[in-house]
Amino acid sequence: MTLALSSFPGLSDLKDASLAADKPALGVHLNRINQNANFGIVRLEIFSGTYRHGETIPVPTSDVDGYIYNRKELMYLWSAQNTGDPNTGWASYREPWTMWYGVWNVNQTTGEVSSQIGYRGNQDHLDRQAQTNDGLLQVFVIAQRQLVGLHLSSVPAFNKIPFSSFYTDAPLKTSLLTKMNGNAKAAVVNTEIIYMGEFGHGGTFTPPVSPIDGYAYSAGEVAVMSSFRWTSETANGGPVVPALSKGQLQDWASAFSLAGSTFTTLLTIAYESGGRHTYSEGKVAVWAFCSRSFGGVTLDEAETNFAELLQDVLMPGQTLRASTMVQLNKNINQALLTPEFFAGSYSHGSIIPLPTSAIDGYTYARNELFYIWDVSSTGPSTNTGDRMSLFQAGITSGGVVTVNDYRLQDGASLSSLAHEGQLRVIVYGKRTIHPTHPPIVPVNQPTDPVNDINQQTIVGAFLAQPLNPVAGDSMVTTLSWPVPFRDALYTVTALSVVGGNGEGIVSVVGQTASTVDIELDNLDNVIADASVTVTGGY
Amino acid sequence: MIAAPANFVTANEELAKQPIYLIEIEDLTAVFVNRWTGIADQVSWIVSIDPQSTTINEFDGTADLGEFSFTILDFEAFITSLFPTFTFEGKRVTLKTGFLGMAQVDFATLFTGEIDHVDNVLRNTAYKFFCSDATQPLSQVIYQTADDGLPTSSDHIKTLNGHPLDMLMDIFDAVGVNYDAAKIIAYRDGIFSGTQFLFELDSPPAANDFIANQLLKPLAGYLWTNNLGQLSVNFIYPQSLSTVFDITESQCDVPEGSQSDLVNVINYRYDHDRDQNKFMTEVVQEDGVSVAKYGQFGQKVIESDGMRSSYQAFFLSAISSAMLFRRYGLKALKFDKLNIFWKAVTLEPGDLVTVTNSKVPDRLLGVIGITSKKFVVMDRSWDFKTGKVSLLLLDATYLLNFGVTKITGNGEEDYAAASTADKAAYMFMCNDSDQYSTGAAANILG
Repeated sequence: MTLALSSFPGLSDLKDASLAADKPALGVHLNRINQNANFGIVRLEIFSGTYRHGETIPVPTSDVDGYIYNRKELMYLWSAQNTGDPNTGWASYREPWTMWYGVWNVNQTTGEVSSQIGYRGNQDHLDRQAQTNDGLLQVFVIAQRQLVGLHLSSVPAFNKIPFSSFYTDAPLKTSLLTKMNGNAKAAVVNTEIIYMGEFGHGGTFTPPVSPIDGYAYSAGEVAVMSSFRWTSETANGGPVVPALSKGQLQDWASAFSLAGSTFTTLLTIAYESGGRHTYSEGKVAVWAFCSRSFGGVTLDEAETNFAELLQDVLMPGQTLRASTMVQLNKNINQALLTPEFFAGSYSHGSIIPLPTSAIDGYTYARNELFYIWDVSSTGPSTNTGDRMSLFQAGITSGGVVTVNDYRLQDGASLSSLAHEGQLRVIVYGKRTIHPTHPPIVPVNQPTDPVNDINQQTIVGAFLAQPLNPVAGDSMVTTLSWPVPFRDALYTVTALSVVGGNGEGIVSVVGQTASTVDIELDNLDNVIADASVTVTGGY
Repeated sequence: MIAAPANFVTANEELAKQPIYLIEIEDLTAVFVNRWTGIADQVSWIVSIDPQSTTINEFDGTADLGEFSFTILDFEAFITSLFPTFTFEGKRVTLKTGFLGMAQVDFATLFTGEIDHVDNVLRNTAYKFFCSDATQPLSQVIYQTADDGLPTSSDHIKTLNGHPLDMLMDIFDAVGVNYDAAKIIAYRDGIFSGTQFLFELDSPPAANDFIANQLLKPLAGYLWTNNLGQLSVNFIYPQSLSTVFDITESQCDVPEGSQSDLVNVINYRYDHDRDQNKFMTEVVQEDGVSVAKYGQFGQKVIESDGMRSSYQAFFLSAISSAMLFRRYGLKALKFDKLNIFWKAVTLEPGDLVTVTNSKVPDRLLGVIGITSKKFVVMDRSWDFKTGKVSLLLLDATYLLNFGVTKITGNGEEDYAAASTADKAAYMFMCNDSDQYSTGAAANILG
């Protein structure tokens, strides 16, 4: 059964002093604790979809309670699920052009997606340079209610409460209530996702401090997730086109080393230019996925029995049933475990294992999991001379990892598929809540080979000819060849006329990748063949 | 209830008594009384004191403390002689009441305010003093400086994030008014513990408007001025469920009952988005029982810029609505004007009282006569000439269903083993039949 709430819960910084001995036993206060537990279930939610350049991420609606988020409550992580043209499923500039650089972003204020993929030719064709808005991004919308302004006056602790504390005749002790109060608040701040900033190679950061209650996370409580901002060079804080001398993009990688409590960003961008050359450049945006350890607390039973306690149960005038308190304690415990993060790195074909909570031993069901990922590496390429044509990655709802590197090898006309590299993954576990996974959009790799031809003369025989031509007649005929040329410019630079007087005037009136239409004017005789020069194209 | 010295309380219990009204003016040695007392500096020059009323506007978050005015004989031009060297305007005025023969220290304070203006009356043989309460400074504009130190505007936001009653006290401090801090703090740390509002102000509001509409209305409360001239608050959820006065048949005229206004639908609008200048959430709280019974809708709208879903706005709207429905959802018994002897002079708005009267219909039970029925004091008027108090009372029977038990210490025994006193005083968990192991009915939550 999917977990659902009937109303929007929220946080209350209920003071322990109001729960002291001889203070009134108020339903309002128990309800506040109850609401905190509910809030712990939904305070952090993650949504995902695939978006292309120029699109704006819509504000999400919670599946649990129907809450419509304000854009101020959202952060966006992203990763290129596919670097190609979303319309065609392949690179706008295909082989022999290959990737030059990638620049990606989701505007954190507006939710607008931008993606730039640069393509270029090899060092023999430096004139081939193109910038496109290729790219299909998988965007992870991190929704944290009251992202700015949520406040607790002190850091709450979590103290395990045995269920044996709740029974008929049990006194409502101040120690029990204050523990439940602290636990319910802890269940709200148990996990936070905090934006750390953009970092280039060598950039360092330390574990964040919670903006809610000032809790200082330890490095062990932080899992780092990044989104590649750009693979290119950086100048004046922004991306710039890589120097042509570097060559064509081969692969890219990010990592974070930890020394003491300092994380260091490590970026590697590899280019092919007569061999593999690596550079420490590019930039990533970084988020800290924080989970409080609460001193290594463990619970005695798997917490999966959350059941909403309607506020009426704890309104003034109601009795206080032990069963209600048991359920409240269960709800707090499950909220404490909602969500849980499990970090790892996975390569192509891996099936991400079902994680088990270290706190209560619960093993998640597959449909309770969601996968947030970014490229850890798209290589290194194992073939000398490889250049990245298109990169594709993703994780299915079944936890199957896809890492597809389509690379053009030296001398090849079509890219070949490799599965080098890894994804950095944070598994987001949310019990009895079933997230929606966007599909991995398939690649549509062209199967027609390409020739890298330039300034080639094609001689074709015109078999078609008008019957009984009369001087002044004109005709259009088509010259075709089996290997297509892309983006070529056809110019007629020479014409050989056989069987006539050679007075035909020729011009190009149309072209496709594998045909050119030639108009012959002022015909007065049979034309047998002509020659056409193709410039540009490949 | 107005706190009065023990000697006053004792004397006030007497049926036959002669009230003394005593008016003190700041920096004036002479004290004015309504009859000769023989006490030094007390001069019996009070000609009259006009009736004084407090009117509660619960749904507006305010109360109107009527102008307090009194007339003093200008005996031997005493007051006239003061004018060249004494400025009455702005001077604090205190009205006290006691009884003949009572020491001044034992008098109870009924009103504290400031002189606003002074007129000649009675053919210039007397002066009439007009006094206002402490709310005048609340007309000031507040929060004029934004977070960045510049004047508050759409480009320079003033953010407030905290407990609404802390904001209330901050405003009082800012405008320089005296207030009942103990009561406000008790509410803040009691019933409203954990309440939080978040405002993003793009223009500086007037204090009185902000307090009423943004701080108190959402909490189902109102601002009023107490007898000490302090600004105070009352909320529909009372701090104490105890009654402070029993109104018996012999103390008052036979009151005629009426019905409270019907309120059974409340639209709460919150999660105000400054960029879009609209409320992102609207919750309609409805009293189904009331609607089913009457087939009528009495609707109120409460818009709060500070309530946020993420700060339990929905729950706050639910609890406030539930309280309002209990008071107004079933057209409860109301006495618009219950005239009672001077003994009730210390009653204040928000006090809980009982009423016993054999001639008042009990519509709930379908009989004539009510016994120890709980009411809450709303409006209050003093008629100094007749020595009577007039009250507007609203049925508060619903509060009988509120528990008064307390949280236990850590050494408390289980219910079965607890002392009889503790069984009644403290909260224990019960079974699903709402009983304890002894078979006793379970205590209920407040």
